[in-house]
Amino acid sequence: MGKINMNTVKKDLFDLFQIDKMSPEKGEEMLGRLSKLVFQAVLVRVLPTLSEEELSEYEKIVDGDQEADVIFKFLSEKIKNLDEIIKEEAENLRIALAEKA
Amino acid sequence: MTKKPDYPPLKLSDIDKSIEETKKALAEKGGLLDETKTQLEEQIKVFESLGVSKEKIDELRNKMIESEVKSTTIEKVDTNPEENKTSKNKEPVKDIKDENLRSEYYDKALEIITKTGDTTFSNLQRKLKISMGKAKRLLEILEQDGILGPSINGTPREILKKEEKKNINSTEKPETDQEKAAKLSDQIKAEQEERENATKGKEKTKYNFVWETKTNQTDQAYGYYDYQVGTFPFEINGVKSEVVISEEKTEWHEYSRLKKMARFGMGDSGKIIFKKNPSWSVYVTDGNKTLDNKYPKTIYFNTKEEAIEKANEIIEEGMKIKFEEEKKYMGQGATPPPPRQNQNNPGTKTPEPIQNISQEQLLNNLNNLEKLAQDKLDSSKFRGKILKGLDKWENLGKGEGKANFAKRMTKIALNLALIGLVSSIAVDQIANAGIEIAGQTLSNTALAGGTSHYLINKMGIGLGLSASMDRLGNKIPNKVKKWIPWVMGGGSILAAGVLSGGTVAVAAGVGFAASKLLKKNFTNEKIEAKQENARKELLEKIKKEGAEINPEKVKAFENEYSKLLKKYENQKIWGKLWGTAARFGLATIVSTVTLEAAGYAKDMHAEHQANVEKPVEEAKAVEDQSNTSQNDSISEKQNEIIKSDSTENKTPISDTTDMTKESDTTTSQIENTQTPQTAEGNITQSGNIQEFMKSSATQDAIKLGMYTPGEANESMIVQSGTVSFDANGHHVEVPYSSDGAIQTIADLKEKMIAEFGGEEKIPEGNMTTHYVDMNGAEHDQSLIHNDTNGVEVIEKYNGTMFDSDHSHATVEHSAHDSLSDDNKVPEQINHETGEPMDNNTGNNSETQTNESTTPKQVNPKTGLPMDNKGDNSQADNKNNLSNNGNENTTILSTEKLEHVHKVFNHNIDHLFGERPISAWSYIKDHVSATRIMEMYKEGEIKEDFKPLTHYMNQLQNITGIRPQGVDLLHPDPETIPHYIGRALEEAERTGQIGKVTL
Repeated sequence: MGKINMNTVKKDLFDLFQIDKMSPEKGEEMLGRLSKLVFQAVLVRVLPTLSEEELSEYEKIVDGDQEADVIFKFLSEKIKNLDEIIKEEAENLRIALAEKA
Repeated sequence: MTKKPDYPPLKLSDIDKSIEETKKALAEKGGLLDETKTQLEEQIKVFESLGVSKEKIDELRNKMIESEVKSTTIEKVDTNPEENKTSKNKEPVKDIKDENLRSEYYDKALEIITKTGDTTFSNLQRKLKISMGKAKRLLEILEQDGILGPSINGTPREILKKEEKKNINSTEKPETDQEKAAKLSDQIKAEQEERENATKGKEKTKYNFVWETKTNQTDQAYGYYDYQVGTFPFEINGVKSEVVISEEKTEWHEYSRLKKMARFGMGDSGKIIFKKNPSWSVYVTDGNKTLDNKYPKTIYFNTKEEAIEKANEIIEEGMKIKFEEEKKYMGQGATPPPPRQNQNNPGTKTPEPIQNISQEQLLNNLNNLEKLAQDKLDSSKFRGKILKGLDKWENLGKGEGKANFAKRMTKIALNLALIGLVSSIAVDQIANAGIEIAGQTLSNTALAGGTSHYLINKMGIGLGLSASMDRLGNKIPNKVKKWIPWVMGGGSILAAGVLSGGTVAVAAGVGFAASKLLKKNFTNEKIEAKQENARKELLEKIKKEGAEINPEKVKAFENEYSKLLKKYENQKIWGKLWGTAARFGLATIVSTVTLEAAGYAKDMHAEHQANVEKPVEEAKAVEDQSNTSQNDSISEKQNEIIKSDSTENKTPISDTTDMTKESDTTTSQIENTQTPQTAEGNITQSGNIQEFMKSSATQDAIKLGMYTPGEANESMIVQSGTVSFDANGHHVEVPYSSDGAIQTIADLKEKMIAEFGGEEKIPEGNMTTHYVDMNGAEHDQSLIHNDTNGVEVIEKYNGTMFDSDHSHATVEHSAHDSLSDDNKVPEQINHETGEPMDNNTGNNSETQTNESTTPKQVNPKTGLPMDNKGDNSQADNKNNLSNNGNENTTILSTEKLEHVHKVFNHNIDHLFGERPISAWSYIKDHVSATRIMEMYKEGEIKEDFKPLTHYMNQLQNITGIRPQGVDLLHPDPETIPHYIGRALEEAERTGQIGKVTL
């Protein structure tokens, strides 16, 4: 485990990567990379907690024509503390990024 | 020379064997490594989880095995099969091959791994275009050299150190700091010489610019089909920085190609910007702060040569910084504190805490975390399901059109929430409402407005964003608010494409109007005081009339009262709007303005209506009051009779007639649409916004002298510069904000208040700007000053400061669309039916103000006033409507627009196909549509242009659309391409496109 830099930890991910100073393309790309990690971590965490029926429903969403935001709607219906989980995963990511090798 | 293998390589027919047999065969030959087997199996799992058919998987599997077989065969080419059976004999052969690999690929591999942080063999294989076997061997060599860690169970290797090859097997003593400095100095000199030589008329620079063409989604999203990027990398104290030079262009005829690309999943063409000429941009990527601070924004050039020259200048600067910082570093023997950008003043630098993690390290950490996340995903039994979810998320908002743009903006909103930036707003809340609202907003905009497709597209995107961002409420951090318009604008030159020229101009105009109001202290109190003075003056005037007052004069007073009441109430509204607008970024201005306009104007309208209904009684009451007691306090609401402000001429906003007209427009317009709002200002009815943006605000921007329709496009993204205010020996200055004039003015306002100790204490003074134009030239320009007579003068921008698109191509439509005479009174929407109501009546201020004598028709359902229908001839009406881009009929779909573009190109090719291409190139930019038609009628036209003029004449006859001449609101004549395009659209709209296709 590397040393955690507290100054870095205090910054949010937006500041940490100075997204606002990046070119629009890079900024959006970086935002996408970061949020994908959080989203993936959330899925890894919550999908195993779903019942068979709920998983089938989830699969219908991801396989169907509905927009991706429906995934969030679905998960928020099924997972009561989804927001908390998202916050935790975002925080985990932030701390992990702040780790000095 | 490659030695032939002593044993026959594995035959390709082996590929046809079953996977197990093939693997077995390869394993017997020492072929597939365990790592490869694992990867192969995992890859197959991925295919299966993605629902790939068995046949396809078999095909892909065979290809992978084939690839592996080939690389395995190559691995074996120098190997004696007999010797190869013993591991002892394997090493020397491998050493020979390793040497070849080292000499050929080692440095490049090291560079790729260092730069990308990706230690997979596929990365090397792809970048170096070598076989899988070679790539894997290179990784093993790097592991042997201690640069990479081992790969355990197929996991990516860790980068242990990034030392160059020279440190490996090196027996030399480490260089001293002095030696390093001397060496660095020599290196820099050599590089400088190289650059100097390169600029001496040589066609190709020696800067080793790596040219590549890419079509990434973001670029396409803003309409770039061809994005050539040249990069000059620096590494200063281990921090990478790059000077990037790019060509950005989109040709009209490429529209179809873009759409096709998007359709085939090659990207998101999103908003297409048609630019007549390519432009070149130069920017410095984040990295070295000194360099970044010096060149914080993208600089645009018309020619490649100019761009390269600027790039060279930056490179020179970068090399100097490199030399200075590295010299300092070596001298101190410690990492120098990198300068930190001061937000308020980019020119100043303050030390950053040394222990802060570097961007490079952050990126490395991110790369590693992504790999770890991949591992975690791989080990999850829900892998397939998760991948599908991620894939769906990745694809959200991809595809063309404003709806997808809105989705993309919603995705950004959700992404911001995911990384905890808007933690107070639940992710699901955004998801629940984001896209739906965005889509609804777009739909409302398109359907309710009935305005031109140009404005719809441009506004739609802005509204889509706004709707998505509204989901984030007021909790969204300011830094994100500032960032979003930048993203929306696509960086810089594209802001003008996303928002209409008129709208952008309004943004600038509103910003400066705010400054104007700030200076004049146009607070409600001030306005009311002026109103009171005017009222008293008018009372005096009425009193002078005395007993001679008669019904006619009462009517005249009534009219004057009505106009002036509107004038001051309107001032209050705009004062409030601008005051609010100046405090927010562009992303929120739309909804904010709607809130203010809808809420405030509704109240004003109600009050106004109450007053207008009793004008005669009021006049009489005034008469009575004035006769009884001059000093009596008169009820404001019943007896406000105001005289035209004596300072009217000094203040463009105070034009009584126009303001009266406008006031009526504003109030009735908003009245006729649903009152939208929630307290937070969420948009529930977008028609208001559109009407607002296309009418009054734009006109005010013109009145304030900030914007002239048809002139150079004013983008809110500026190059660099400052706006300053000088008064009574005080000097206040702010740099241009990255999110535009509004924020700049807001910043200036804050400073001014601080400097003078309060808004009310700010004296009259001069506002000036110093800026760098698109060509890098510096300018000083006065914005607001007092002339020799003490009259305040507002200067109009000359355009070059904000002009991001010298072609003017993208704004001609929107500027003309928004700003014609008829459009002054925006189209009104029937509240009940949602249908636009015809208000092209040619109403003038008199007809509007004589409401008591010529009452407006009242909508029986809503009880709201409707404008009377005019009696213009149909042809004229059509021409006017089309000129305004304010068609009441069908809005062209993207497909139809595309068709129009095709016909346009086809017709031009047809007309000029056999003529010198320069003929069209010249005439389209230099002769107006009106002028060429005059020349045609007068028989002055040259042979080369006769087919064109015949065709234009035919267009006019079929569509009824005439070229737009110059008038007050169209100071620039319509160009020929603009006219043809406009007429073709009308033909498409009316089903006559076949008649006008050559």
